[in-house]
Amino acid sequence: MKRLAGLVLIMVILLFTTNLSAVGAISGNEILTELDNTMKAESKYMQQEMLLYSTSGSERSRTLEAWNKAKDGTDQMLARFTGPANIAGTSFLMVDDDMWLYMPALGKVKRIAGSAKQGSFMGSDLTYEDMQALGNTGFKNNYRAEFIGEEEIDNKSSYHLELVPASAEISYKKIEIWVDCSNWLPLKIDYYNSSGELEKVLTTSGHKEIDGQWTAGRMEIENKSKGTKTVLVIKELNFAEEIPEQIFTTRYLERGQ
Amino acid sequence: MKKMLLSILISLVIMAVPAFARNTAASDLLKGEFSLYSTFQGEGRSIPDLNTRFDLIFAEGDWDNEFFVELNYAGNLQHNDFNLDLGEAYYKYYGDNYDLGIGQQVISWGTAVEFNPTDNINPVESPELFTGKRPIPMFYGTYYLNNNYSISGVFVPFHQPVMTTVNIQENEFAAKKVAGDWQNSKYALKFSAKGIKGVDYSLSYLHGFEDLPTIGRLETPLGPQPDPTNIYFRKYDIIGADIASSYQGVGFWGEAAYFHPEEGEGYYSAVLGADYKFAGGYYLEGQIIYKKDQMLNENILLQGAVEKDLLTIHTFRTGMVYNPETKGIVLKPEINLSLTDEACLKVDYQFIDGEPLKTNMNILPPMKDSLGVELWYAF
Repeated sequence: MKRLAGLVLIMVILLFTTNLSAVGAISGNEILTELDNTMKAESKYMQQEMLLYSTSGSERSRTLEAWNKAKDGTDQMLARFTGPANIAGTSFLMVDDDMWLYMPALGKVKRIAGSAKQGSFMGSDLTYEDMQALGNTGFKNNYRAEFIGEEEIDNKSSYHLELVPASAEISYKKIEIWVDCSNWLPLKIDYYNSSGELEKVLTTSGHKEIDGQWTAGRMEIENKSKGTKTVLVIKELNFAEEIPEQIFTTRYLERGQ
Repeated sequence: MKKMLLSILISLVIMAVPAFARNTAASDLLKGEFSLYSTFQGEGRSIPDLNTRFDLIFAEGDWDNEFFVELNYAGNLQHNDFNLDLGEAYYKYYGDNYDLGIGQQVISWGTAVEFNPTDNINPVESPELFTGKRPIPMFYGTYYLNNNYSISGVFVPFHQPVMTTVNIQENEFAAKKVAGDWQNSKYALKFSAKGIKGVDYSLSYLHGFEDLPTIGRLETPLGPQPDPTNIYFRKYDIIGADIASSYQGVGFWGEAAYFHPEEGEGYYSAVLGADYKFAGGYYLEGQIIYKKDQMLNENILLQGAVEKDLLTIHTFRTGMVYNPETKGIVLKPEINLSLTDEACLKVDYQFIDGEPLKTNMNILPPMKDSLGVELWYAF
């Protein structure tokens, strides 16, 4: 009986310490690295529907296509609105910190000031800075992460992280992220503005594996301070297709209008 | 020769249609815009103008080529006075390291906002400040040296002036037309660099005839007077340069052009500007404009604008032009209300006090206060 009790005690201790070491073994920065690696794609083409909701609840729909590519540490994105007719052809190019906009009504490519990164991405509740972080740039380069604990979000087990900016260029005071334990995708992100108030809440759903890469089929961004909302729904996604390098040049902003 | 060249250009554009139509339904080629706008001008006008405009666009494009034809049907509803015009109508072919375009089109050069000294290919729609450009027939090509550097060339076969008559002491006089010879063609070259250590810049050269006529002067005992029998267009060369970059989040740009006429004194214009987007969503833009025109009118203008999204889907903008010398000012607040995905309502008011532009010899119509309302639908 004593031997049995001793064995049970050893097993309980072993189980307890193993579980502790499993959580303790992974740090906030390691979770962030996994998150960045999951969100990052060497090459990505997608068609999206962007739904904008005003404070009064009015809904406006936009459709766009976007090409992303990461090469030699350079992040590149070309995005183009395909509808509705009054904004179709408006295109945006980002190559690292350089950004250009093409508006068919102006008929020329315009360089965008760096401060525009804090501004709305194509009228949505996401900023260019948010788009970069959710794309190839990731969070790890600009934030330091602290592991808060494991929590349930929408019946899914997640790692709760708190991120503080590593540089003064970041416009948020802090970010909280809940990372899905099963696929390393963000389930929820809380953005806190420079005053420390909760500004935006991003939630993802429709997680699926495409071409061996996990991605969220739907993103909802609720702006708590403005009372507005943006929903991004992926209509088509392709990680496998090779995207020619010259697409990420200003000449392609004007093409194929 | 003008008719022959126009026929060639239109034929080439029409020939391009079947190439797209083979794989595309006619309804997919069709796009359009309809607008109904009313402008109320002060000073004695009690009934506002009620105008309408319908633009029908046949367009199709991909990474390799693009076809575009725009028909504009516009006029005044009160006087039942309508005109059908051909807007932009072109075919563009995009090669691996070059682009070619042929047809009636608008080519915009320069980095400044609303006033671009280096943008002299298309004539302006009217000789006022900050107006749009009129499409004209041309050949256009760009050769890309690599992903950052390119050389563009434009050839406009014949002269397309902004205006062909001039009002002198309430009488209208015609300017001598520029003969439609090859030697009178307009041509331009531009060397562009994009994304060079965070800087875009370009250098350009243009040869052609001025868009506005020059009025000869008669020496009289009372001093020099305008000569209505000697109104003509001068040949000129333009050298231009522009630059744009961003520092500490502030975007800035500069643009300048020197105009060297075949006869008479040279003149130049320059713009320095900056913009910034605040975290709260406000976009602020400002420019200092030095403008010396062919009549040697010299103006320094301060131009600025504030923009802000309203409730995510609407926009508000206020533009301003101030002349420190004459104390003249133009203020133009405007609001764009998004009614549906396809329709919007724009309301603007133009307030003018004093003379925003100082002129020695004025051939421009006087600027007036106005209120504009436009309902706009795109499909």
